[in-house]
Parts: sequence; C-alpha cells; structure tokens
Amino acid sequence: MNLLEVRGVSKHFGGLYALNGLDFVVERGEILSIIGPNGAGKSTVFNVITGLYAPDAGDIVFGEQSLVGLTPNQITKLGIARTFQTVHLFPNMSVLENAMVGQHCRSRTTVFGAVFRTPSMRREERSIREHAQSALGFFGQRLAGYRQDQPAFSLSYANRRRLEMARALATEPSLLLLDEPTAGMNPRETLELRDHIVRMRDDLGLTILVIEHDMRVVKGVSDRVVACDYGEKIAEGSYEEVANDEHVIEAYLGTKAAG
Amino acid sequence: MGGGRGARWTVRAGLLAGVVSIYLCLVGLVGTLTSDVVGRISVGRVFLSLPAVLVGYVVARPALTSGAVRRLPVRSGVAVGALAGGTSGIVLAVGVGVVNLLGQDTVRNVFVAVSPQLMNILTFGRSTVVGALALILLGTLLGAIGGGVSAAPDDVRKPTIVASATTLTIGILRTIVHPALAQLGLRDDWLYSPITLGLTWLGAIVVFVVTYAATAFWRAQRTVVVARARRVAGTEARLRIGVLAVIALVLIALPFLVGSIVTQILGTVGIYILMGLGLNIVVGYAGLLDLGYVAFFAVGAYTTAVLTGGLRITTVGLVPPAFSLHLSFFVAVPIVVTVAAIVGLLIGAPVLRLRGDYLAIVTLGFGEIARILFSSDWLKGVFGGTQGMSGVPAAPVGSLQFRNAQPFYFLVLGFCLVAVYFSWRLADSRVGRAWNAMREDEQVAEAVGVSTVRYKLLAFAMGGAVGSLGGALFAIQIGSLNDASFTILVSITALAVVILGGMGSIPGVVVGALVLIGIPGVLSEFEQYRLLLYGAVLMAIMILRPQGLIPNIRRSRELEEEERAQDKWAGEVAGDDLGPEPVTPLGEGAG
Repeated sequence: MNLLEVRGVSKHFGGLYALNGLDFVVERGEILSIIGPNGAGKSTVFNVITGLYAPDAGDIVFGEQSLVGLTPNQITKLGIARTFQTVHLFPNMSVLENAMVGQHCRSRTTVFGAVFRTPSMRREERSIREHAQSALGFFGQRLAGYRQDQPAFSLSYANRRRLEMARALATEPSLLLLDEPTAGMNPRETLELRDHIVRMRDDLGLTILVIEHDMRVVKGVSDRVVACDYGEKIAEGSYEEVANDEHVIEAYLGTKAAG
Repeated sequence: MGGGRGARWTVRAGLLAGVVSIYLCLVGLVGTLTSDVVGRISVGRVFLSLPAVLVGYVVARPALTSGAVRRLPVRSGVAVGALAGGTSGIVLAVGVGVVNLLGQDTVRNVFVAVSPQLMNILTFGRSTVVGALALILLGTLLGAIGGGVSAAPDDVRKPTIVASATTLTIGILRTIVHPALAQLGLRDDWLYSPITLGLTWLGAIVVFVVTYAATAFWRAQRTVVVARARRVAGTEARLRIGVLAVIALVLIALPFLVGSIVTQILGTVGIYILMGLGLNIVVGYAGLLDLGYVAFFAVGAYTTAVLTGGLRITTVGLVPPAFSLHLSFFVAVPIVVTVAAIVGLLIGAPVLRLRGDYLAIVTLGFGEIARILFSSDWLKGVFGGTQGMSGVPAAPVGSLQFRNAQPFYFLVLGFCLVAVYFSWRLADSRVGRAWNAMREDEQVAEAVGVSTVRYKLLAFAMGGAVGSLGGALFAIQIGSLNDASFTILVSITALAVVILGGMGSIPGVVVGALVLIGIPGVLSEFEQYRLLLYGAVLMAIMILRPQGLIPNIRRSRELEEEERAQDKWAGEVAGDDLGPEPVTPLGEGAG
C-alpha cells in the first residue's frame, strides 16, 4: 500500500528545473533511498513534500490527502517529520526542550492552561516530557543523563544529528524523511546510525525516505532505491538493479564516449 | 614593567583614559555635578577620578600570554597602574593647558561645559601650572591605587571593590538612605554631613570597613551560612518560601521607609517593569524585534483615560470626549488589556513575513503611527489631539486614593506581580517553548510543527496586553496625557531595560528597570545625562556581558554544572564520540 505518492511534481527556480515531472511512491513500512549526483533535486523533493516549497506542477498525496497548499506545520501534524541536510537545532534550548518542541503538534495547551496550570495542562506537560525522553532514549546512552539538560549547542556533531532525529521522532510521524543522515559522521558512527535507521522501521514501525550519498548505507538499509538526475527519475528498483543501471552509472561517471 | 602586555600598551591605555576624562569634562559631568559624595569630594570629582582608577585597574589585570595566566606582583601592579594613571593625568593636564592657551571664552563658544567652575575643579583653585602638575600627580596616585587593588589577591580585591562601590552608592543615595534611617528612628548625622549632604569622612570609613568585613566574611563562610540556612529551613521548598517572604516584606516596607518622592519614582520603575515584561515576551521569548512598543503604552493609557471618564483639554477648558464611559479603573483594565491584545494582532498581521532588521524598521513606523494617530486632529474629538487629555480619575479603593505615591506603589506592585507570574508561567510551558523555538530558527520551528503565524500573533497580543498595563497605570499616575509622553524614546527605554537585564530573563527586567529608570530618577542631577547613561550602559553590556546582567538563570547554572556532570558521566559511560564543540556565540560564557 502506498503511503506517499509523488505524482509528476515539477519545481523550477527561474529557468532551472530542480524537479521535472518527478514520479515515485513510498510504500507503507519500507525504507526507500533517493540517490543522485549533486544538484539532482533530492533535497528539493524533501522541501516540496514538507511544504517549504510549493510545487509548480503535480501532486503529492499522503495517505488519502493531498499535501499541496498545506503549511509545513500542518504537514508535520499529518505525520511527516524530517531532518535537514545541515543540522538545524534550537541551539540555545536544552536537549530535552528540543525534543519537547517536537511534541508541540501533538499537544494543545494554550495560554490559559499555561498560566493557570490546569490539571489537564500538567498531565499534558508530563506526557510531553515522557514522549520527548523516549524519543531521546531511542539513541541509547548518547542523549541520556545530564546531557538532556544541556543546551543543544554543547553537543558533539554526531549527537546533534541524533538529536535532530530524536526531535523528528518526537513529532510521532508515520513517515520520516532523512536528508543525508550520515553526512560528516565517522565510519563507526555511520555504522551505528545505519542500524538506527533500520530499527526505526522495525521497532517504531516508521516508513522512511532517506537521501544518502554513502552507498554502503544505501545498500545496508534500502528496500528500494530511486535514482534521480536533473529532477527526473532515471532508475528505480532494488539496490543491485539501480547500482548496475546504465543511466545511473552515466549520471555519476559521465557517458562512455566522454569518459 | 609593562604588565605582561608591554609598556606601550599600558601608555596607550593611559592615553585613552585621559581622552575619556576630557570627554567627561566636556559633556559637563565633572563641572555641573557639584553635590558632595564624601567630604568635599563632589560627584564631578568622582567622575574625574574614575578613568584613572579604572585604567590602573585594567592594565594590572592578570594577562593571558601563550595560554597561561600571568598575575603581577602587587608592587608591579602599583607601578603599572601608576604609569597608566599618570599618562591619563598628563593628557588631562595638556587639555587644561590648551584651554588656557586658547582662552576659556573661546573654548566655551564650542564646549559650553567649560565653565570657570570646571577649570577651578581641574586646577584645584591654583594656577594653571600648579593645577596641571597636581592633575598628573593625582592621576599617578589613583592609577597606582587601581593597579594595586587589581594585582592584589582575590580575598582583598573583591571586598575592596564591593566596599568602594557601596560607599560611593550610599554617598550618592542620601535621598533614599536618610529618610529610611529617620523612619527607623536612627540618627545619621555621623554618616551624612548636614552641610555638604554627602558622607562624612567618618561615615565613609565606617561604611567601607563594614562592607569590606561583611563581604570578606561572606566569601569565606558562604557555604557554611547557606548550609545553616538550609538546616534551619528544613526543606528546599521552605527555604525558598522563606526567601520569598523576606523579599515580600522588603517590598511592602519600602514605600514607608524611603519617603514619597522615591516611592513615586518606584511607581515609575514599576510601570517600566510592566513594559519590559511585555516587550520581553515579544523580543526575549519570541525573538521579534519590536521598536514600536510605545504603541501599546499609548493604547493602554488613552483607552484607560476614555473608559474611566478622562476629559479632553481644549482652548475652552476641559470637555468630555465624544465617546466616554465612567467605569471604575478596575473594570476598565480588563477591557484595556483586551483592546491592546487586539491592537497587537493588528500590528502583528502585516509584519508576519518580516524578520530581523525589516521587522524592526516597520514596527518603528507603527510606534510613530500610534503616537500621531492619538494626537491627530482627526481623532481630536475622542483623544484631545495634541493638547491631550486630563482629569483621568484615580483608582479609588475605599478611601485610598491611588494617585498618592504610596497607594500607587502598591497598585503597581500588584500589577507587576501578576505580570511576573504570567510571564514566568508562559515561559515554562508549551507556548513558551514554541516561542523559543521560533526565536532560534523560524523555518525549522515551522517544520517541527509550530505554527509560526499563530505564535507570532500570539506573542504580539500577549506582549501588547502586558505592556498596556503599564500605559493604564501611567494614565492614572498623573491623570493627564499628551503625545509628548509617547515618543520613540519610550520604545527605546523599554528595549534598553530588556537588553540590560538579559533577554528572556524576568529578574533581568526588574533589575534593568531599577538601573535605567530608578537611578536617573533618584539622582535628579543625572536627569540631563539620562540618554548618555543609556548609551554607555548599553555599549558596556554589549561588550562585557552580551547575555545581560541576569541571564536566563537556569541556563547559566547548567553551564556551570556542566563540567562536574561531565566528569561524573565519564565515570559511568566508557567510550564516546567527540567532546562538546560550541558553535554559537550566543549564550556562551554565561555564569
């Protein structure tokens, strides 16, 4: 069953087509990788899906609902969470608070409740805290203990990436978009993260769409792979099929004649 | 010699201090502030001495060379300080010489503050040559003192600084201390001279010694005292209640101790605390730089005036406005707050897409628009135009008239407590977190699920509502209004209060208002230097302590405890990735 359908989506900036009639589907419960050379439009796909950009043409359907025209916060509330290619945290808020913001769209306390500390508000605050802690707990000891009360800027690079994922998990998504999750990580951290991605699907039941450059990770996690170039899909299938596809090799290495 | 930084650096610092001294003379701080602080030493003379002492202090600070802190021995500290202070004295002496050469009258054409009185202070009433030499000698001496204190061990240095600052403060604040002591039935003619109105030498020495001893004791016995207080109180919660009770007692006793003039000023401070708390929601929590905050002040004041039956000032006397109600102040306040919140939404809606500088400029415009609207001929029938309004009734409770200083103080205090509670609860809630997230990164907050449109509007509305309380109190404080009270200066002052205290910090707002409104208010001599004070204070804060005087408490404590926690952690968990690597300059260095 398809969780997300991207139907003929185009997005251009001036004369440049970042996406050109892109089509693909994400099935419920799978891990789908998007690969492609730099400038292929991978991150643009994420930005269009999450509502940061409006598509110029085409439609995006999540479950039964079209996402076109919705604001990013509405899309998050529907159950799509994401991380960014470069880490974007709330640096001066504590680690726990970062994750608690993720619970924002799953809670409803207003000014009135906040000021008068109504019983329902206190209950909700407790539940926000518990959800945030369990999201942080997904990464084991990495984001546990005293670290939860530290400002996010004091974390190491790898932990910042983990916190960004924890914050996304705290929004209780059904679809998680990861934009180059292993960028800048060392080999040991990359391996660890690969396991985490698989566990997010197996243990948390998430559907995951991941942009990744590290082919070992792509090979390790993907049920299917979509390859893009110039905003168009050039290949689709299992990792082996895509990796051996003529168009893909051409996109990465150039044509035989030119090479 | 050279203080680990080289003699050249020391001399350059001295030259700078000399230039600062000359500047202070030229703007009039030295010549016109003639009331005495200690003995016959006037405020002006203190200002004249400060640069030399400070430069001596600064050049003798421990230097950081190739990663190691190098402390100077006291004797070198004195020498370096003397060099720097002497240099500043020479600059000042040269300045006096130049004035003498050109003729005082010529100089006064440009710098009006160069009065015979100023020259008399600078030359100690002697001839130019003797005076100049005395300036150099004095500079050297003061620099040496500054340098000596600076190089002294912390157990001497810190109590000395605290004691000197306290002595000067008490010397200046006779207006507060004298009536308070009189109320308590204490004689103070040994402390303050009845002739100069400053401290007597005996008084100054007593104050200095007592403060020095108290500070030294606190430094040595701090943990013991705190532990004993804990033991007496029993639980942490009871200790906190005890502290709160003491604060409450002081707040209640204050107006009876300090006399009605100071109480009046405290009322004004309270109004700015309300303004600061409101602006703190907009700027500190939500990160929206609003330079037109005066709009809410004006809305609060004018709405209160109209609702409670204020009268228009016209050429034929006081006339009721075209629209007028005669509500009690306490009935009017909820309406005023609602109106202000709606105005907040109206101002917020068109600027939703603007950020940073652009937002600041547009809101600056809105502030001016508000002032011009209220004073316009178009709305003259309701708000009285440029003449303004008068006869706003006070808020009576039984026989209490809130226009008198003391009842007004309690009214303001009550409003402030409500606003503090409101801000505090909001900050520590889902709403506060959403605002903080938006301040940190608007686009990401949106992507994580925060409706930035909604929370921006909410910030403007809540900030406006709190700020309008300040306006409402302002309207009944003096009972009359006109557009002169709602200039951009109000916005700037409120912003300065927030920045000085530390953005997002509630105690910071209180301290900021006390410093920026209270000090110029109490020291009426300083009134004309109010803006100079703001400028200097803001620059100093930005350079020395960008997180504000009292930064977000929780955060600074976290930073302090970070190391200890990390050590503990390292013992529990083996093997980890890279250590912390702070990237953002904001929030660093707290605590």
